[in-house]
Amino acid sequence: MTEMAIRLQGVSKSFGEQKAVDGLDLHVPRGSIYGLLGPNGAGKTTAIRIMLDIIGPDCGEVELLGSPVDDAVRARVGYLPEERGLYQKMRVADQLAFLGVLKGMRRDAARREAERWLERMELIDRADDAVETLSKGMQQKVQFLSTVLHRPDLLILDEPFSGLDPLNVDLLKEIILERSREGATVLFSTHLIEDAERLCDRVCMIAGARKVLDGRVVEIKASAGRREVALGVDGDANFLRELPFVVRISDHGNYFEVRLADGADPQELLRAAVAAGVAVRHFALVEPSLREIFLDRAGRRSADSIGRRGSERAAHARLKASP
Amino acid sequence: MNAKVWAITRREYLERVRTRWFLISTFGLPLVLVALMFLPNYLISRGGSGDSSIRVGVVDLRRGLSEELGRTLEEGWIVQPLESSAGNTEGELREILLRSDLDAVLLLSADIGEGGEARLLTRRAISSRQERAMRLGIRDALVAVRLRERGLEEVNTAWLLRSADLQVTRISAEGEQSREIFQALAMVFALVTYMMFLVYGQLIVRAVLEEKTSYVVEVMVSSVRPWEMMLGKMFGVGAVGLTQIGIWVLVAGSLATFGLAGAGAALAEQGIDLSELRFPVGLFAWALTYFVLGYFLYAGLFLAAGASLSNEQDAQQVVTPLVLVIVVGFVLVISVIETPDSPWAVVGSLIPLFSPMIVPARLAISHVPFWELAVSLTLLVLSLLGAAWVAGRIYRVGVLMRGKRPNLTELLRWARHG
Repeated sequence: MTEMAIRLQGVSKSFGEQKAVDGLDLHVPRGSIYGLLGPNGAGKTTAIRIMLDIIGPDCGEVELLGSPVDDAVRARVGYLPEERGLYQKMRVADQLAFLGVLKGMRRDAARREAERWLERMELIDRADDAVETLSKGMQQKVQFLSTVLHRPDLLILDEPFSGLDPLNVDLLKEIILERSREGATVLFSTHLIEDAERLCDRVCMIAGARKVLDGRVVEIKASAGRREVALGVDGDANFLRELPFVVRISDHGNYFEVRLADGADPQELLRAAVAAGVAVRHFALVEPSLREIFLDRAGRRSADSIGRRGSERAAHARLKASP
Repeated sequence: MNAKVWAITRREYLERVRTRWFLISTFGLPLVLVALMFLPNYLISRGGSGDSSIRVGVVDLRRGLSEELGRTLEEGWIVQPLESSAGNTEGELREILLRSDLDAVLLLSADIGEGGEARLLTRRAISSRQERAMRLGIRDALVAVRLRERGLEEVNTAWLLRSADLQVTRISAEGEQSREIFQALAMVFALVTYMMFLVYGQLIVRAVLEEKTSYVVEVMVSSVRPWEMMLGKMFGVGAVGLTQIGIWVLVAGSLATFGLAGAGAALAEQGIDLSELRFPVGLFAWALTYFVLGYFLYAGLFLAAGASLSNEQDAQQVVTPLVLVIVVGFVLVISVIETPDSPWAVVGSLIPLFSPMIVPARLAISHVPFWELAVSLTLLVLSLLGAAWVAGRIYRVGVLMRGKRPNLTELLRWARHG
């Protein structure tokens, strides 16, 4: 079994009557890019704070990088909180160096790294300016830098892309992938499923304080039990209608969208086409998007609230009712 | 020291020393201090010449006194004798005053000085300086009249009342020095500690709030432990205070050195040897010790108060009780400087909240027994450790708290379970 970068076991946390996290198990393998999905208020931020020992769980176990959270572990983690904040009066480079030292770096090394990153982020000419003189987006970038400055083995990012323009979102994604290639584990939360779908190899969906979905993205998609094939042929496509595992056909002339029965092998379709003597121009498996799977799992209303504000409570109610 | 605590200390220190606030307060506070020490006296002494003279009508039932009063009253008063039958009750006096164009009337009773009194009715406000002049004028006039009545007409009253200056010198291990210098020193210690505790206490509160108001707190607690943050803040802010004091001592020291060196030749002519003047190292060491310990005690208390807050608006309320304690301490010091060995002074030296202000002042002007110092220091250290412990626990819970300010019971719960 792969070693886990994050392991939560039966973690629960309530604030008064409100259950923020309810019996959460989470296993994030080392080296993975892991998405924590769920609507606003689902308990993502609380789960993350518990991971980092910022708040203690009511019950359950937490391990990061193979041990309970202690100073040595903290030094190997980079954390971007949902609520961003930097010392406003402090100079940008000083601030980064300071945060680097708190993560166990030597001051001069932290300074060098800070300058290198600022260069890359095109913020080097602002290095000696007070943070408060920077635009909000720039401050976000500086804060993101502070989480990767010390080359952590584990990056925990709470809504890293919110409030950034597309260009900077791409820059962040690039850095996240780069860190991942260098062996770091990345966990990030988002309420935008599309972010996760493109970037993550594993996701966990929580809604209403509970986990509703967890696993490798490809496996989730495979086990979604829905297969669709896009098929382009030259010749007579009537053979399709005789195949027992074909559920539905959308006919566009030379182009077909074919829905297969649960558990059917798409390769069978290809073989049948070849056997029927038609020339296959185009053959593609169309995987359902995570959003569609979430729709199936959680019901349309709750899924609609993902990425949008409001109707969270209704969503929770639906999610709890669904199997 | 732990590397993280050191980094936080360094940050708190540098970020504060670089501000304009530091520059202004470093050079502003001594000015305020000097102003507090000298301005009232200066204004009173200057104010006299600004007073316009008061024309006072005198009803002299004692006889002979009003003429003397005309001589003995210093400037500020113009005496105008009135008929002695004009009135001798307060009602009649008031009548006279209101009918005349006088500013005031004075009634000298027949048995004045033998149980009887002098009454002054005035239409205008009189300054304390003028009142004092009148008091002394009546005394001197009475002395003159009594002398004359015993046939000592020629005696010069001013000469008769003239006394000598009393020079008090305290002999101690550090040599003898005039009491006045040490009294001034005690006052400087008291004022500096008082102002520093007030200013730095509130600075600590603002430092504690900084993470919350700027939302850095979550990044901080994911990297360091709350107690590391707390200690870093205490050390950093305290170091700013010590830097300030250091600058003051340096500036004051060099001014004094240059001043004395310049006056050296003149002083030598008067037989004063500068080499005999010694800097009271021990005294300053004690004052510094008490200042540092007292700072940590108050820093802990202000920190505990500030840790539960989430915005600056609430800060004033929480800080006020502590500010009052410091003000009470200062009032105590003023009385201690008057009577350094009173029971009050001894008790105050043992109470940790007050001892950092009182003990250095007492050490400057009196002798403090060893047992008192030992007990006072022990209590101070114990209570500052206690305050830091409580502050640490409240800080641990409070550092992430937002919104409503907890009440006292909740705070106590934090301290117990924190």
